[in-house]
Amino acid sequence: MSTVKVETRRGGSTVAARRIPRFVTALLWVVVIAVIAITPLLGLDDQTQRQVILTAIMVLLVSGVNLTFGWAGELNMGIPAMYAAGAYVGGYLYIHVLNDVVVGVIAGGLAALLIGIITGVPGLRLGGWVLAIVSFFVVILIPSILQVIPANVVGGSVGLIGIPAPMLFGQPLTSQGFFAFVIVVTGIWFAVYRNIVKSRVGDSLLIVQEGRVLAPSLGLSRYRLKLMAYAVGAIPAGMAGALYASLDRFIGPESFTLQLAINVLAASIIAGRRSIYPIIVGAAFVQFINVRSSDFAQYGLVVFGALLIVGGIAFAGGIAGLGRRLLKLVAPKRFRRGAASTATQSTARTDSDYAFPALPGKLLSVVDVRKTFGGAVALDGVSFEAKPGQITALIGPNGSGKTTMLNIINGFYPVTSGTVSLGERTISSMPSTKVARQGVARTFQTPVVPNGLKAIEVVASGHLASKSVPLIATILRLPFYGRVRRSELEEAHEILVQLGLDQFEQQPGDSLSLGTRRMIELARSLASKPSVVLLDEVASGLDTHEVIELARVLRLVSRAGATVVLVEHNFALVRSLADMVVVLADGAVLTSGPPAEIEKHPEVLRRFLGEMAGLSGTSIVATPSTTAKGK
Amino acid sequence: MITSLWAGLATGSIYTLIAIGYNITLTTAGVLNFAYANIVMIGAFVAVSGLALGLPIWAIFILAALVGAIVATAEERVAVRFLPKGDHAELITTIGASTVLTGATALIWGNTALRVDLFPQVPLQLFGGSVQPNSIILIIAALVLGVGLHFFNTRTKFGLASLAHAFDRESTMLRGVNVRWLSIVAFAASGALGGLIGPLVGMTTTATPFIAITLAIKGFIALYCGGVGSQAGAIIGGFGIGIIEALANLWLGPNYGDFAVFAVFLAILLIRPQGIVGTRMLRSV
Repeated sequence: MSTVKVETRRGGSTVAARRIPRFVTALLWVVVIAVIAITPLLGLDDQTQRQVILTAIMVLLVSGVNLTFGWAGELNMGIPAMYAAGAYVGGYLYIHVLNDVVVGVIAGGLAALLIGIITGVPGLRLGGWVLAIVSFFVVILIPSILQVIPANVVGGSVGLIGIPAPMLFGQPLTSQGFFAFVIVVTGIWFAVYRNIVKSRVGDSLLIVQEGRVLAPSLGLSRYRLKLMAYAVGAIPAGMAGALYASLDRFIGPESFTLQLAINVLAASIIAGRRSIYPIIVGAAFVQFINVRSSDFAQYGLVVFGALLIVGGIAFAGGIAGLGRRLLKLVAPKRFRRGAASTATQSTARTDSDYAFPALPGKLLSVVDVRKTFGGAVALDGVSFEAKPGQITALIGPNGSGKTTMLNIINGFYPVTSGTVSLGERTISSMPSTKVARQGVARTFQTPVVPNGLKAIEVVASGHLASKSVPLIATILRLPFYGRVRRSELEEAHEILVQLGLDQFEQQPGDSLSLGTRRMIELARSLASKPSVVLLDEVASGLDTHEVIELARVLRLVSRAGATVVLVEHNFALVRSLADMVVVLADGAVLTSGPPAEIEKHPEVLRRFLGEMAGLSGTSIVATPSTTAKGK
Repeated sequence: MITSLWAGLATGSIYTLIAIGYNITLTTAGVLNFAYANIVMIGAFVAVSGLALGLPIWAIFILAALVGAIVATAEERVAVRFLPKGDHAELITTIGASTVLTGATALIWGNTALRVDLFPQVPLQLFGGSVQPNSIILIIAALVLGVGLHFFNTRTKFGLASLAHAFDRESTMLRGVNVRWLSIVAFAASGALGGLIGPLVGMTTTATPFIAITLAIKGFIALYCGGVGSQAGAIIGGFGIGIIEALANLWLGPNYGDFAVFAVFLAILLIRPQGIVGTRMLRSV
């Protein structure tokens, strides 16, 4: 019966409900762009037309900054340089090669992309201030670059003059025609931007921002994703530059200053660094202030600088986000997200015949692994095997090296000596992203659930690295993208149903309770169809009910064939669950064997079980396979 | 050639002084204060006003240091104190503070470059090249401050405590170090220092609001190339960058100094990302 329920839900919420809105948004966007594009025919005067074009250019620049700043979490101050690259390349083409705005816009975008790659490759190795300064410095270099390039090419410090009136496919464009062109280009790019950030790519970028450990553990390269976002973010700036070259038909170095970088950043802050449609508002606002204060640029500096301070502190959602928060205070009920999270736990779905789809478990063998940190020895010759279809528990007191062992298995730490192999392959020398792609999934002692994703998307993110979709398919929303996305969301839904968590799936993942986040993490690790699942104290912070539920799920996972490695303090849970127990003490294996043997081992009893067995931390009271409690 | 070297050392001393200022807040409050160069410029403008009012030189320096300390403390209270954790928020707020200060100085003292004439400048002939006396003072100041603070950080208890804070705020707090106070003191001290050297820097660069951002960026490159967090690194990075810039300008042509600096910066990023003398990097950078 529950299966039927699942079917209808899936049909109703995740798949069918989506298709119509997407089609409607796209159509609506086309209509909006078309209407704006023809406003000059409806009597929009020249002066306003120019302001709208400048705002559109600002929109392009801000969307580029948002891609880097909001979605990759890095600050790009080099936007004026990218803008200049597009403007000069466009201007040069129009004068000397071919006067066609489409060609100019494309060439401008590519020129900026090149700047993005040149500055991004070194700057993003460390990110943060380093990228900000590298990109900032390119802006300082603009005048020198213009001096160095012969004046007959780009006009030196005087500027590039004599850019011909814009033409499209050999036809001269009227001012209304050019206006429409700018709006259409901006509209198209905007759709591209939206489709990039509202996609698996956007999800990956949010994961990248959630610290250093999560992305690699899911097989995602932080560096590559950040570089992608930064480089793609340069493209609209270059396009904007080429448009600007046709607008004024003159380009001078004074248009590409650090001040412009500050303006764009301020617009991004106003809109919210991860915003989509509010970008238009932010851009319009900054453009408005610029027109007002063109004689008093210093006022603009003070205003925008103050905005950056306020925005930097208010961060979460920019000033738009502040407004939303205020709105929430005023109208709390409407905006409160599903209060169901505090409601009763769902009843576990104990379909005893349910089985996870087969998981390709592999033998994990750790051979004589040593790990030292400086002089401290964390692991001193540890060897054990974890077999597919079994649950292997690593137990031991704090500081005995359990988590270090997990970190070595999934590639966060290199071994000092020894090997870790998975099936036939040695994984101890691989970087963590590659280990993850070999099928090693894990959870963390403190659950790492990225901000900005719904629970179901968090679970589906376990899948991101295993199926890559080309960026172009993502942007155009080709059927291939839809298929991959739909199937991974369905699988995520299925896993959540099995874990009894489907009621939370539409809620923001990071707002859930600790226990639920732990289970969400477990679900995420299962979504990648892993060979090995590493669980770091997955039961701590769970209530009894949740622990029973967890034990049931873990049995299903190992029955499906996966190799499960469990680091756990709760010996009662280990006893009821594990096929094999490895006891670590002071970085070495004290003993190993089936739990029944371990609990009688005199040394183990003396050192950590003692009379407190089953009482510390969370405990599991009674599951079918639990024997009577040890005395 | 020698004159160029002197020029390189003179600009290098300014980069070093900026990098030293960055290090002071970075190693105590864990925040890189991008607005530091603006505070130096404010010191230069204070000197301009002080000279116009006919104040004696010692009073000008004291006033500049005082104004610098006040501005930096105000910045700490407004732009740093409430920083959310992570997310590079300090980049935004300190760049914002720098922008506000640039705008404010332009509003108060105007856009044009103003000369700072604390004392008459007669070029000296030293080792076969000519150099301004003021440049000698700056070079000595950069060396003395850098070396002094280097030993202060590595040899004294307070220095070590503040380094500890920069690396791990929470555990330092648990050890009973008052981190809020440390942060304010660090900003006030670095502000006072920035204000104090401002008049001297202004004698070389003139007092102009828009040069601050260039100094801020070059100072960062000096800091980074030397090794973030190390005052000895600031000396090496600052003078190194200054000399490279001067020699490139001499040998390759007047526009190539910045290219050379950029090339060196990128090369260090790719080859030795921890900087020349750096051993480990602060997490925030």
